[in-house]
Amino acid sequence: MNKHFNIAVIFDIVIYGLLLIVLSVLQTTLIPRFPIYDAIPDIMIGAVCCIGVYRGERCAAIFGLMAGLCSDALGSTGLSLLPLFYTLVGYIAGNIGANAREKARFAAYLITIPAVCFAKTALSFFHHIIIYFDSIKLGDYFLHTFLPEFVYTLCLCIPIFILVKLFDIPLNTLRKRGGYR
Amino acid sequence: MKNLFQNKFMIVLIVISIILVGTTSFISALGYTSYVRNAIGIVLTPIQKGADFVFDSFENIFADKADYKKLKEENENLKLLLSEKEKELADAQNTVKENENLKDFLGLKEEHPDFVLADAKVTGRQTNNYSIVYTLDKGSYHGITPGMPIIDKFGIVGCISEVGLTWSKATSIINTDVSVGVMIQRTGETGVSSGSFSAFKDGLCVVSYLPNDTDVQVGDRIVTSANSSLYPKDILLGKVESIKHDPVSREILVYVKPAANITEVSSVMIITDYSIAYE
Repeated sequence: MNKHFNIAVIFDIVIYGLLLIVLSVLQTTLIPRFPIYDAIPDIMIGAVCCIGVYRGERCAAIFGLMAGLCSDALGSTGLSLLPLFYTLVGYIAGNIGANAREKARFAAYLITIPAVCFAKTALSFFHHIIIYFDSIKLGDYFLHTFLPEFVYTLCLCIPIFILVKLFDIPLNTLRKRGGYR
Repeated sequence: MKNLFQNKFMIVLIVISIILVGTTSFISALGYTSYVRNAIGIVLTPIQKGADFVFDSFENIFADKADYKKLKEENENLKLLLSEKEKELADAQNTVKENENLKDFLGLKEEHPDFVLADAKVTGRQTNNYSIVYTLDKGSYHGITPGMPIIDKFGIVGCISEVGLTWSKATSIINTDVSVGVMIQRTGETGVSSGSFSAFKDGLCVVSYLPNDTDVQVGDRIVTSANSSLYPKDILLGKVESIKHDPVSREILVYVKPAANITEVSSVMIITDYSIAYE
């Protein structure tokens, strides 16, 4: 059991590490090529939420912390709350997933996602307000950045869910063999 | 959520994330890069570069196709625009030419205020050994009738011989079957100008019925006389080119070079009406 546990943990680290690299690269190279108005969606948040609902709060919190550090390293400069934010999102999503029944986990994911996307968009909004306080026009920002970012992030969560589940396939196989979750 | 602060694992994780956020932000504010960011950057940047290259290639393929389509469309539009502009330029050039012609005719109109003029374009020309016949773009619809004289800015060209609804035909002044009453402007001597086979090939007409002792010189201006039934008085026919003495009829024959451009005229005025001055 310990041996299986260690192998499973190593596999988790490797697979989710690869997933993190793929998501980071997509977030910084592919996604910025398709902005809607001024909005760039965040695909990390969907992955953190999915891992939280299906794998639990610990796995999602660690993944969230690493995802936040990667996003911070590749994207923003200066003050970035993403590591803390993603950690908390992973924990909350994990809690919701733990309370949901096995068959209702996808529904739990769909319920959690809008709230999480809204929270992320609000975080971006506060970030922009702090930096561009004098020049930001709220009406324009809401129509051309806030709303598009929220909707765009929400829409991309479904393909990200499929991507995470694809990366989960080898892990599921191992877990079934070793009886580890 | 209530057990968040009772979960030791989560407390440790949150503390670590706060420390990482704090130190990263502090170091970044000083203008440096933290070890964590540096390490992540070193690992991910080459992968980012490779992915960027791949996505750039895909983008270029589609962009080239989109650009080609856009350029093709732009090329078609520019061709159409060029064609329109060329037409406009041609129209403008025609207008300028017409304006110049009309200015010349304005001078004539000022000289003969009683003339009622209608402008016409020479749309066709039939030439043979003894006649030049012009086809004009005005006809009975425009008030043209047979016998009306046609002039250009230099002088007489001919007269209308046949009229259709929107077209008419005119014979030139040097045709062998045309006769015009003329006079030597300098002396007032009158005669009759007509075409001849021999003079036609040189583009000349012949003034006959002048007495042997007529005072005429090469270069004298020949104008229409009041005796002419078709043409108004004092319209320039041409200048004397040469003078011959006919031993049989004991008259002199004056060869006149028409002032009008008989062979290349493209725009004429038809004198539709004028006042006859009785002397």
